[in-house]
Amino acid sequence: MTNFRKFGSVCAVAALVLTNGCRKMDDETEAALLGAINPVIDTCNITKSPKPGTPVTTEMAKSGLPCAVTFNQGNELADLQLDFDFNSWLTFVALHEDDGDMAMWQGWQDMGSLMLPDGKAPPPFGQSVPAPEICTGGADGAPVLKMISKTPTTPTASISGEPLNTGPLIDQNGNYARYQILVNEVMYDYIVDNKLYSKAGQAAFDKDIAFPEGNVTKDTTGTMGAIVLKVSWKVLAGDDDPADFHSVKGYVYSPATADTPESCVTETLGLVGMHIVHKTKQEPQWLWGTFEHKDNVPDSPTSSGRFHFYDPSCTDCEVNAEAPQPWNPAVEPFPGNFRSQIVRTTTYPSEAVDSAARWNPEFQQALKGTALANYRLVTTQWPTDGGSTTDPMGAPFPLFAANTTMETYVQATRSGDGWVNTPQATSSCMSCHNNATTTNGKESDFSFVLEKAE
Amino acid sequence: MSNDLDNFVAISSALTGIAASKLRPSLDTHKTAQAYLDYATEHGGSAFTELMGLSPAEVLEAVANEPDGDIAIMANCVTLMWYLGAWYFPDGLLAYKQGSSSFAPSVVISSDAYTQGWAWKVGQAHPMGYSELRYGYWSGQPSTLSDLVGGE
Amino acid sequence: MADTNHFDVVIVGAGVSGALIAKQLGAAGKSVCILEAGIDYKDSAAEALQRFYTAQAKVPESPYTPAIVTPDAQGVQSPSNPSEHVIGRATTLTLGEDSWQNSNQAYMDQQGPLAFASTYERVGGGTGRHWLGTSLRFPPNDFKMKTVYGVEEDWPIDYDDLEDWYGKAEHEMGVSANAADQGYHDIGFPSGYSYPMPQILDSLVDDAVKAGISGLEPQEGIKLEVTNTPAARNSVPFQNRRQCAGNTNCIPICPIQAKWDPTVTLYEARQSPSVEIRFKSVASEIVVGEDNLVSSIKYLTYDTFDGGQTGSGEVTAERYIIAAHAIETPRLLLMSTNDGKTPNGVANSSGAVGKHLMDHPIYLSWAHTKDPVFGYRGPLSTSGIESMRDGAFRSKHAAFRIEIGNEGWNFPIGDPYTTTLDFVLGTNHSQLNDSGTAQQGKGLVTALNHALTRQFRLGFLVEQTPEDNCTVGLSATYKDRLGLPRPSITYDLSDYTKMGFVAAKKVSSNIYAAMGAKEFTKTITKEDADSDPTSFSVTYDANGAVVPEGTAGATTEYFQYFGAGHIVGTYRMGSDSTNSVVDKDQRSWDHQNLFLVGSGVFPTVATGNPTLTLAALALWAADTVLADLG
Repeated sequence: MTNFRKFGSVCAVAALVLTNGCRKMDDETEAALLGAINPVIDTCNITKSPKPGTPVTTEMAKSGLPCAVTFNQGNELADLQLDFDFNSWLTFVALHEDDGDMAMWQGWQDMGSLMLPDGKAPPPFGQSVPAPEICTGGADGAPVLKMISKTPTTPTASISGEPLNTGPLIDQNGNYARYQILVNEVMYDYIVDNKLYSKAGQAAFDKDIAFPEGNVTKDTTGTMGAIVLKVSWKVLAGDDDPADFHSVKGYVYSPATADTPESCVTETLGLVGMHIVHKTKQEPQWLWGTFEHKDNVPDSPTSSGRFHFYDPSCTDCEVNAEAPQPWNPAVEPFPGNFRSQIVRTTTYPSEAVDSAARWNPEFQQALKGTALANYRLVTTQWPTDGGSTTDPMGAPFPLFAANTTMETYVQATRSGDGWVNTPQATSSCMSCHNNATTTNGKESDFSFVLEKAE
Repeated sequence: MSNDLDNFVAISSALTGIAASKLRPSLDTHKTAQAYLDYATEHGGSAFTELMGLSPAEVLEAVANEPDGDIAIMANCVTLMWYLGAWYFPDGLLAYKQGSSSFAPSVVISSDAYTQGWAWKVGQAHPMGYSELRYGYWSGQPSTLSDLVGGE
Repeated sequence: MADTNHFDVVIVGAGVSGALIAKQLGAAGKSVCILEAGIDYKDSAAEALQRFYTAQAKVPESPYTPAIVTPDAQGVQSPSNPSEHVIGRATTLTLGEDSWQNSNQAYMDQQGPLAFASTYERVGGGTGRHWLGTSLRFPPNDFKMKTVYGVEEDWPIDYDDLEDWYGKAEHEMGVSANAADQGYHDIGFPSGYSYPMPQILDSLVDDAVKAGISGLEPQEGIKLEVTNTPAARNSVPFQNRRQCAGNTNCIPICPIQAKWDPTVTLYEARQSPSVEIRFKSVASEIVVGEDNLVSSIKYLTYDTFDGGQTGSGEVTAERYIIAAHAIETPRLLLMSTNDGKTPNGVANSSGAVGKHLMDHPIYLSWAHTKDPVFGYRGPLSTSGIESMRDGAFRSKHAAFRIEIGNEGWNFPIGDPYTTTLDFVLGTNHSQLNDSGTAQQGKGLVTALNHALTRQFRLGFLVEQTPEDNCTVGLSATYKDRLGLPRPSITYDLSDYTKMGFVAAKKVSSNIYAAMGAKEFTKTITKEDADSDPTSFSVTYDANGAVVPEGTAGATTEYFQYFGAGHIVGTYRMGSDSTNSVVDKDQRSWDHQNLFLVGSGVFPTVATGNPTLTLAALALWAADTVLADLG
């Protein structure tokens, strides 16, 4: 066990004493344990966003992981958006700090090693279940990339996880984009210590689901909140330059279907999208920051440039159309020469547009020479009225937010020659996750992770 | 412009009974008030210009004194815009009000306007097809009216 | 696949039945082609929601295509002209005195004497796109009305034949209910049976009705009880779809797809490489060969709804399944005259194709409760009163189920619009603004809150009898833009059905009285009945026998009815080939390789919403077809 951690030891001791596990301990012990899940730390990054005219420096960009948003710009929507977006950038950069030979976040717990068949207990934090037998020859501990959409279902099951429209994303090489969901240690501990990784554990859990909150109490002292990442990758092939990406060597796995055997190939994959979702005390509806590779898609149809998911030379490719079924990632390149032709179509309010337009070039400049300089913040969605008594979403802003690699087909609604945002149909992180529940239908604090338990 | 918007929100609040802070929250995510002011300015003609030249009290007075007058009908249009997310054409609305037509023609301003309609919230409910609430809320009591519409 | 036109099975219609059958056949490795007249649901889903939100009149057809309304220069929407559309369909917007027989507004050529008031969709996913989700089993006596009560017809199958298929359909679609609540009127379940999800929570409206009728004396000897309604809506996450969030919009569109609709199953069906759907492909003729077997199906294609035909095609198969609902299926059968070889249409040696058109005509009533019940919240309906779906009275008058509405007076008077206009303008169309006062400010809030929070309605789904004079035919006059004759409809209600309305009205008033609620149901007059195509009169004597109007001592009552969207009966199953179109396997008596599925096979409309039963029958038909194919 390489990750011998605070809670693991406490629980093990308690279990020895009480034999009936952690959940039946007295309140005092339980309170202590909650503290262990979400321990006080003194390394919260509290860097303030610079005022206009002061550029983001490399040091500032790499100043570390915030426990919560530090406000500095003012009280108007536009000011607050700047602070939330700055916080998202700091978080994105900090998550990519090397932790040994990989980015910090890559050591977090993948859904595939958290929600296990038959509700089995997951391995310790940072450890993976063994890769399928067919996966051999890759780097030790290489991630196994199974998902072809951001909802963790096999392609043989229903993929209608997004209401109304859905489907896989096919890059210009004809390969399926691959997805991962990961949780940080705080989130992992909350799930494991409360046995929420199984249907049975969820049924037995008699409290409200409330993931730990990030918070700063004084200076750099505070707590880290639960963080969920949704990550999209593309297989690097053809003209792709690995230096342009934050990349990883991983197993690309496809299950058997009626027509194709299971397959597993070792590939180098480049990061193309990342949702960073952090629960904080001030934002009980969580913070929803989302990043993309700058070369994913154009912001409007174009005949020039080079994109991962758009072909400028194609004049009759239908924009933002789902790939034809059947979807079988074992068959690549995608049959019939189909390639996704994706354009960014969500409309954002000026505050969000202006804020991203300010921070993206500044952070890209500060990160020059690193792969991270090739990424852009799309936006950060946050609650403007977190304590609302009438709206459990806390009045999100912006109203809509989409990552073109993850909410590809729910970015906006076709309207004549243009696109419009439609409530409930156009992607909104908080609007959708507001309905998240456990397997037995209990509210699960904006995370669909628990719904995947068996 | 901000003066116009302030006055529009004040008039709207007086007509609708919804607190100004609800029609135009300090962090205004939907910007509905601005959208409605723009819409009414474009479609409301001289009657809307006239209405905007009055104080909220003067508008209420005009509505009381001459309920079928241009100002009063325009005030009705503004009220209905907030309540139903739709623009009622003043001529058709007057005919409906006077009983000479059984149908008041209107257009829905936008999907956002429909889903932000206040009639539903006044009914302690939500627009059909747009709920911000969660499974099972219908088996319990709704939010209080004052929480929903604001004010004292 | 794409370059061949021969399949194991060709299905016409990508709706409830077509989707369920295609998935089963595809999973078994059979090649399937679905011909769907409408557009791909993938192209239309978000647009459908946008179209709904911005529709002025939000009727069941509003979200779907072709658009039922066309805006004028100012943006005011009025009914589209169906002769300009390659595929037309009916809308409830054209049931008025001036519109129901106006061919520039109404798709169906309605011949009367009454109007057929229900509608359907022609779009990928079919009418199941706008269904409510109600998934009731039919009680055993529904299948043997002739034997038990001496009225209507017996089905060639009974409840026991269907029981397992009901269970399979409930699990395929994902129905939320507790089996323990659903065993009324001898409905049986295998021991230990459970629905895939627990029941959806009752609403405050349900609670109020339940409390109110607890002391109500038996009606025609039957004690009324409120029962939670099984629904294909998620009470917990299911099929990777979210839990119901109570958007109060099952009809016409659930914005979060917590309600099962056929597109869910079509996604799964299309994961089979052997399943192909051809959209914008309008079946125009079922071709019958020398051996009296169906030899192919011809279809027409189009690009845009108002652009006319752009091409055609023909597909062949080992088995053919027509799943185009109970109006378009008989229309296709009747259009298929094979150059005079089948002059009365395909599968029609009995002459029964197109006959026995039925619905659940709805007696709608509405009231105001003493204390708020907070409608306009939750799924459109969560409970009903199933007590009068069976009983000795069925020898005399129609049975009915009572649907409790959670949407205030939206269905009855289009609220909250009507009442809001009343309080803003000082009118009184809602009957809730007796003083005719126009309100502003806090007064408006208070008055409207009082009015809206006490509204609720009951819908009585009355069993209609199968009659020879209720028919779907081909219009001699009107065509669609593909040049195909539009459906012509004759429709009426029998005395037995009308007396069901009389009974429903009594029960309705008794329920409101027991609840202490004030009834506001619109009074229908003789003038209404004479002019409104969806109103009728009935005169009956002291024994409940219908007698001519004006008979001494008799009572005359006037009613308006609404369509339930439960279109059934037009190619019914039976045990006698001379008076039915398909046998108990839903196989054409005339053509052994042709199956007709969907609610058109129902010999009677029975007393429950039809979708679960037609879904169960579709799964059964898929099994039969698979056995045929070997």
